[in-house]
Amino acid sequence: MTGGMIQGGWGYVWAAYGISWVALALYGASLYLRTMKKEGR
Amino acid sequence: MKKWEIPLGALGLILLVVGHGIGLFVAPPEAMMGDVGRILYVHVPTAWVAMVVYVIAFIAAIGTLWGGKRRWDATMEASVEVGVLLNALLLVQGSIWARPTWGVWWTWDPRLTTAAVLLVAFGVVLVLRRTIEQPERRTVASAVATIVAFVDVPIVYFSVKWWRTLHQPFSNPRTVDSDMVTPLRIAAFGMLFLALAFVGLRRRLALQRIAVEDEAPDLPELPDQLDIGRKA
Repeated sequence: MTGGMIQGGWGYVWAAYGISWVALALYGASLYLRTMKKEGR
Repeated sequence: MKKWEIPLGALGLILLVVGHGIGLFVAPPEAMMGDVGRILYVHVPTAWVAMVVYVIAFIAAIGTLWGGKRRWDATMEASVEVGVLLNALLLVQGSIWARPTWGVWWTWDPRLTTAAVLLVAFGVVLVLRRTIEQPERRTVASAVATIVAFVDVPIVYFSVKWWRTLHQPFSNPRTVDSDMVTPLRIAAFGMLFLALAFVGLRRRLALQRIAVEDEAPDLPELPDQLDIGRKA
């Protein structure tokens, strides 16, 4: 720490955003594909 | 069938990209947390929207028990699933944020513990929906379980006020720098629209499954084991 502020930590930031975006993208794609498949019948 | 979920989800996606972009590359570092504080632009909207989605699940559970309409049941199933996803992400993001700021991945802090209990409680609702085959029983059991699980939502929200906690207390636009409020709001609306689109799409799937169940012929009841024994 420098002057009371945490230095660095970008790895944690990218990890948090990366996991969130990947999870949302996979779930969204899964929902979209399943809906299209069911309604395409 | 026209899908309102697609344009709403696209709008949510755009807002989320803009909000996160500003939060990551334009907003100033947080005074104490530095760049690690940028996790808040994904963590806080996830938390807010998870609670909103759980409120929808609660209302749908009440509607299910009150009116017994299939639409309420489908809305409940969809919103619980999306809520559980956001709840899980919320805990993962919080854990990643806690490591550099608190020095631990996890601690049994009141806010963290109540949020974890919330995930388990709504996870039970999903398990009930998967395991109970009889539609009427499944609907009633999962609606009751949703209402019971929802009791934890206000406890999570007020946990930072009721107990001594490591977690940040309530904040509002007057206590947060305006350069941080803007990306937070944009990301929050983005996450909200995306989550509502998810609920809408998931609800369609639930309604289709319910329609198939309704059309299926009733199976004859199996004779009771005792009766078989007596006849033999």
